[in-house]
Amino acid sequence: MRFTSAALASVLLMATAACGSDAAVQAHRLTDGRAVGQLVEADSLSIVLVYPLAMCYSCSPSHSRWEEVAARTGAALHLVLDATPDTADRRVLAFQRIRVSGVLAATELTERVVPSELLFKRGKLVASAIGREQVSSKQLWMVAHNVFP
Amino acid sequence: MSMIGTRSSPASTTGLNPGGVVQFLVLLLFLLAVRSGESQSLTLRELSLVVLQEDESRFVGEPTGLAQLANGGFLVSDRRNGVIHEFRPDGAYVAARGRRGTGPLEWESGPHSLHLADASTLFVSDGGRVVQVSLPDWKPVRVLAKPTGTSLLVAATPVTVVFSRVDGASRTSLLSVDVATGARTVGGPWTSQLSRGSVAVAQMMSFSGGTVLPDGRLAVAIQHSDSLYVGPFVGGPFERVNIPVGARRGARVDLVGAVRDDNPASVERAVYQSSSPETMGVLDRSGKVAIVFNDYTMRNRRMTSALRVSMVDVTARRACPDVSVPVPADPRPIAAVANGKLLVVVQEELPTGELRTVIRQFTLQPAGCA
Repeated sequence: MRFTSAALASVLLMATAACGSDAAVQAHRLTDGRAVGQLVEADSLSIVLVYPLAMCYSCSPSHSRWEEVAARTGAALHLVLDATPDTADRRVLAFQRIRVSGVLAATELTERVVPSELLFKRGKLVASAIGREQVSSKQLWMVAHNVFP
Repeated sequence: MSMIGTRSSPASTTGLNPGGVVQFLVLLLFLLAVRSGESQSLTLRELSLVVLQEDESRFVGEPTGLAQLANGGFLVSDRRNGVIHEFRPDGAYVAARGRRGTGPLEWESGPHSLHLADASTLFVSDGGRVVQVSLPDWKPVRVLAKPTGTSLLVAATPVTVVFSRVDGASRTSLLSVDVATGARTVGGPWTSQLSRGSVAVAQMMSFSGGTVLPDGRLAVAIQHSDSLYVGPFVGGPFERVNIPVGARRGARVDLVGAVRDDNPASVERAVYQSSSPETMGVLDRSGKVAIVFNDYTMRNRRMTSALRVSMVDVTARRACPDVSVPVPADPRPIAAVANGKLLVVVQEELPTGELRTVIRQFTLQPAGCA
């Protein structure tokens, strides 16, 4: 039953990925000039999370759930924020040992790609969840159990 | 004094010069007023600092609860990591207790506040449930579902926990639950000026503190009241002691009166712009209690909190105006009152940029007010 659900979720999420909105996420520029997709290394498993700065990372199970997947699979975990943390934000993130890989450069598309979760295998996108509804559905997390060893 | 003598009437044969007596009384009242003004204060004296041992794999991410064990060690609940950290009295790391999950010694959304009923009985508030743990072996005893619309206030005894709740008639009351039998009794109530709908939205019921006094009575502070309530509550009367507003914002009943159910912003204002009691505890056998208040400020949608503390002498029915606790407001400090002291777990950044988590300990010294 669990496998069936995960498989169905895989199909749905792959279809979403094929629609191209994941391409918008990967192409979105960071404040340092790189694209989000450039965070991913070619030979590794990678998880890219594009979350709001204002998210409560301790309250939300999302981030910690992906940390557990990363710890279990050896995947690299990249957190991209939608706004630059100020000094106090950086201090809180540092206390919580939450490392930030980049910050989205604000464009008219930014709102449409936050939040997003993307899974990469050997540098290629294998599944994604884009938008609040998909991200909160946990489907991608279920998919991760299949697509990551 | 010389003025009194100068203005004494030489015609007085009794020695009771009416003018002089009046002046003397005026002076006496003045001196009493000055003395009263000077002495009605509370000061904090800081004791030794305990630096908690942390590294990259064992660290306090976001403290949400604090308690001191009978052996002097500390428990710090950590929502970021989903564990309760146990430290020795000197701050050395002992162990991480529990983990994320839904099992008996697992934390669903917390762990949050920690309530020691005695040296061997710990109740942990964790989202919609309360987990009872036996110490020092950390054996889970039972898991209680929190009754709807309540929050855990205090572990009154090893077998009784008390929740604050708001009922359908908009009254705040106390719900006492026998954890062994599940038997419930209701005490209070105080009239709540918020409807249950507003309260549920704002989760206001969590903003209350309570403690058990040496004589077995319960002392409770609730948000939107500047008083401490003392009594058996269940089936009996209760007393009320006013807590003068010092540094804190106070109950702000004006904001409560402005709440409209169809206006969530008005609820937020009432809840977050008024002081809320966080915790309290007994300081000595005479019935003096310390009450810790939060003055919240949202910062980038993150809650920060300025801590204030007051002392109430329940027996004499007197209280000190609250004073600021000299700790950073961001990240939010978490306080506890234990063994006659105010304890605060604080995450601080040193001038060198080093981040550390410490327990700061204070004694409260009242001068005339409690």
